[in-house]
Amino acid sequence: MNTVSATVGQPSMIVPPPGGEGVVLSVKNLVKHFDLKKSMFALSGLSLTVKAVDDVSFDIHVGEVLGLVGESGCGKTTTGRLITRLENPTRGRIDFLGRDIANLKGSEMVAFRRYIQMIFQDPYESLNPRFTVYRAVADPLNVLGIGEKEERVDLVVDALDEAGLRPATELLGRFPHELSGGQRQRVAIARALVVKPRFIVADEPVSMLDVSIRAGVMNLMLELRDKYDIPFLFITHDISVARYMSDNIGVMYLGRLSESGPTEEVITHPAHPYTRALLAAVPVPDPDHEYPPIPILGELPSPINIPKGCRFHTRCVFATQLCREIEPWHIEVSPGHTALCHFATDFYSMGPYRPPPEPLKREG
Amino acid sequence: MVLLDVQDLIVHYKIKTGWVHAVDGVSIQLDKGDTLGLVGESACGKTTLAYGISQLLPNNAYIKGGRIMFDGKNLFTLTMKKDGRLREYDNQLNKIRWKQISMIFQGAMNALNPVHPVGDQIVEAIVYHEDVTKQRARKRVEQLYDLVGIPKDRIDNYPHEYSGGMKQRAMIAMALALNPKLVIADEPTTALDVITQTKILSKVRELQSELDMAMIIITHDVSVVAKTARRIAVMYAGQLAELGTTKQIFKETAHPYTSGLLGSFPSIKGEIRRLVTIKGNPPSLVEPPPACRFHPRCPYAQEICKKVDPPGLVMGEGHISFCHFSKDLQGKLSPEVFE
Repeated sequence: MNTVSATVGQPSMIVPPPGGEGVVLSVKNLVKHFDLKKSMFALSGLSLTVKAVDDVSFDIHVGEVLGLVGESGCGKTTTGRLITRLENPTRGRIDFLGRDIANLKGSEMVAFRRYIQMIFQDPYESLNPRFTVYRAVADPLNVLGIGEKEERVDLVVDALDEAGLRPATELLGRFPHELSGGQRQRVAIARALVVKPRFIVADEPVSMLDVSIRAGVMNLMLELRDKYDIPFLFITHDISVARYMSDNIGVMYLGRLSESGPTEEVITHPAHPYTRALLAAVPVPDPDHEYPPIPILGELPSPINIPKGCRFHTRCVFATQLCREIEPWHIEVSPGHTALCHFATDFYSMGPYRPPPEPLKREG
Repeated sequence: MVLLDVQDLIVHYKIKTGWVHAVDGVSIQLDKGDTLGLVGESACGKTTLAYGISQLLPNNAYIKGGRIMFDGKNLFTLTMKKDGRLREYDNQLNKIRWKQISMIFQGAMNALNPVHPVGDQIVEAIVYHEDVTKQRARKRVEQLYDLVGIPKDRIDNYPHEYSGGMKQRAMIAMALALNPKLVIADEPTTALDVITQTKILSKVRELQSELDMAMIIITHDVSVVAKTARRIAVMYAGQLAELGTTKQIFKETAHPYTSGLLGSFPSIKGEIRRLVTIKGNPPSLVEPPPACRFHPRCPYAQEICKKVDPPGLVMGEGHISFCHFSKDLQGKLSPEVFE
């Protein structure tokens, strides 16, 4: 691929070359509260806050895919939007390549945008229907002032090629309605790649795609990771998809990271009762699979009224007085594997929740 | 005993640029109390087939051939106009619809009227179809709430006071309210979170066997049918690809498309294997490919596949595969060839 000459200044942002090791993104005590007072409750004088993200911390290393899973309303999408700075955090740090980007503004913000790109869920909505493929993919180059005009065509063709749209030159003049869903999502991926990002946030990038096409897009992202060591934050509600995509997995519940660790470790030795419930419920494409009873009570509480103590206690079948009163802290049950539960070590030592029939290894 | 018998059904939609061949010669049977999973990607015709059975096709749908026998009655003689379209309002049909064949729709959030309490909406459905008092209908709603697992004190709540899972349960209660012989569930849990989804699917399965209803579950998700259906029909581009028991479809796969479809699903169980992609895209149904509709994407395709319609080959008891090479391929299909 061509090297990109940037005309936008990269002021104080120190960007090391791709590859190497180390932490690319480090999120510390990230908080996002949405205040409802200003809108619908203005008249009643009530002050209500949705605690969408409530003290979340994690690190993502070079070439790592972190899968963020959870039910709707758990804060996984907001976390992604905070990292790409589509939302402003209420509190906390987002260290990207050694620099806190949580409060960037103005031209620094513009310069930073280039390095973290986002792929959205719905390729039917994320592409402007009046833009050709070329214009859609070249748009970030225009906005960021990267490359001369002639150079941009090459950059766009390269990016489309990387996204598996071949021959790319034939697609440049097409409009989104002339493309299939899978092709559209590949255009969205090309648009993210064209600026040579150092980090990609992908929010449910395959959930709108047909199954026969979905796998191709997932494999493409894994190939890009392998080729360029780009780390991904992969947000999904589907744990089976997260398992396929991720090196590490983070499970969110009501705005907090309830469990995180190496993917296979979390799946085979879940240490948080919520993770155990999720795993019990995951549908398995095997008619002989026996579903265990799902160990969970009731329904998701409102994020406006988060339960006291452990926020999962209202649904936890194992909850004790301790859980109702004292908020748990992250307990490390094995290297890199932590759970936000007073009894994490007990759950962990219960062993594999559902032992896989054969030893696990990633192929291909 | 056969409850539903669909023979060579052909349903086409009229659009500006021509005809959409949504369902093109599909035959399926369903016994009393049986469950059939209808699987395929978007625009494979699965929803059109189901809406054809429940007689809910839109006005630009034309029935170009075939018949649907339900409980011994030919549905189309009751409802079809001369030009092949369905009557919009028909007294005969209203007796069958909902009372005999009911539906659980995909977007439960949008299927309930927001300005009436949920319970009232179910009472209304019962009173409309049956000669009972509102009080008796309400008693039945209470029983239904028990059955689907919503607390009875929520009957007088409005839809916005329900969670997504509760709304879907209420829709199930409404579909069961008149003891139908057949329930058609169109992606009943797609919009729901995984825990709610699995709880609802288990409930549906339990109720289905308890009440001895027949059921058709339409979904794109093979793990949903693996859990809920006894038989599966795999559809591709408006036609059947393969039909068999769930076990036959999963373990004795005979059609390359089924193999590719199963191979493209990740699982939480077992080893991580590389997911396969079926090259190309599902075809346009305005001009579907000739002969075997899967041939442009099929790694096993030969000359014959481009020229001759594949016959339905019998692969086992009740197991039919529409592929010329099913006899050679069964047991040897491996998703890896799609790579």
